[in-house]
Amino acid sequence: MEDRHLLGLVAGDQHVIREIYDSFLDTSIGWISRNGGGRSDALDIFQEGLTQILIKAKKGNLNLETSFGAYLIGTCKFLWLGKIRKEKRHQKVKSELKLDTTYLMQEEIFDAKEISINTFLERNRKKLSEVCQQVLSLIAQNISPADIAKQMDMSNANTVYRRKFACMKKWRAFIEDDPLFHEWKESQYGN
Amino acid sequence: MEIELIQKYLEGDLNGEALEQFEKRLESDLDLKIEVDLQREMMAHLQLSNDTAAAQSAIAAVHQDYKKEDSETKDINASLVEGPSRRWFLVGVIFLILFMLLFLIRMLSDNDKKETQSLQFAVIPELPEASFMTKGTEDQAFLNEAAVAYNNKQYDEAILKLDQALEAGSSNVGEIQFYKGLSFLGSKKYTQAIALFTSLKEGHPLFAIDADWYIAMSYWYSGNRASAIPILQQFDSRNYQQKAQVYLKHVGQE
Repeated sequence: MEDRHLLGLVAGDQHVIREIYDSFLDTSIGWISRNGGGRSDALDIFQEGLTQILIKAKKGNLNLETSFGAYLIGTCKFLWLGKIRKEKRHQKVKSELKLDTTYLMQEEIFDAKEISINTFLERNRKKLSEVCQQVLSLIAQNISPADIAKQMDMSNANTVYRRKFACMKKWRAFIEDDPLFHEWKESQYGN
Repeated sequence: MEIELIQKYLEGDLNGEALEQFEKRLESDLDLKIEVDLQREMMAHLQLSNDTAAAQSAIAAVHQDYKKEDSETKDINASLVEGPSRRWFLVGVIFLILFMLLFLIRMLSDNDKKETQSLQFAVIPELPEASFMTKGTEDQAFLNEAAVAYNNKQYDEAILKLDQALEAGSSNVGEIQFYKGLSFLGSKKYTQAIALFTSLKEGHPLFAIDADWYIAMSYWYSGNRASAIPILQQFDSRNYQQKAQVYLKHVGQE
């Protein structure tokens, strides 16, 4: 992880993040605008792209073989095509997907599967209620169920367990409805 | 139920026979394997979300700033459409401005042209320059002086010198009459010009076409366009025909 932008992103440095926006947002907006989206869509995709890169870098399996900017733009393209495919809001989606797949294969700048899984996990996690997100977050921090119960004003540890599994099921149900999950599944395990 | 079982397996809480049965199922049941893999990813993702919480907050903060700036810009450009339409809209505006500019330039140029044309039909155009071929004859001095006077638009002086050249026995009678006629025209003595060109045409057929043209011009600029028009309509020599068309077009007599 040598890239200055990547280091700043992982460190949560707002100056660097702002610099990233200033340097690459317009390119992303331009591409998304030419492919059926608007500025607002492009802004959201850009944020999602940065989050995906952040997660991948934190996992320790991000090895930039190209510039940070090219990687980020490629990620945004991938995310946008996934989104329009989901929403089916553009009639030219099929040809665009074909075009972009060619682009991704030629560039080989990132592992689309990796981006896919992070994307559908994260965006569906965010669909959960605040309470669910908090319970799952505290459990992931290895805080004991008894402490979580106290912290979240729940009756006891069993309530925390029940809530945890209810939230996991809800999360899993959201994931089931996400086309990216099915693409990931197909790419991992075949038909 | 399955989620809880998988969770126990992932957390190492399955033992003995339960673990053995689960692993046996895992080898043959692809759906179960997928669920286990996915749940492992979900738990890892939760861990990762915690690890990246601070950085994600920073991204969200910058993102909010840009969203705000964007919505402010959107307010300013409220009438513009989003996305690719907006680009085309801007291109359209640029084209419209260019079109209006071109229209304005064209209009101004048309006005200039109209003014020039109006002037052309009201003021006698530039007359041809005079230059006489003389060979040391007695009329030479008169002709030279006549040419200088004529070219300087001193038509009365030119007429005087031309007459003196004739009196001196010049052999260039046709040419002298021609420039004398032009001098009458230049000095707006239209009747005399017409009489002279008519006489020239009859006596010197070589000057006939030129004489006809200047008879027509004399009528035209004297204000007698009715007499000028039939003469203008009869030209078949290319040079005068084209010129005549301009005048005829002006009065709708093409």
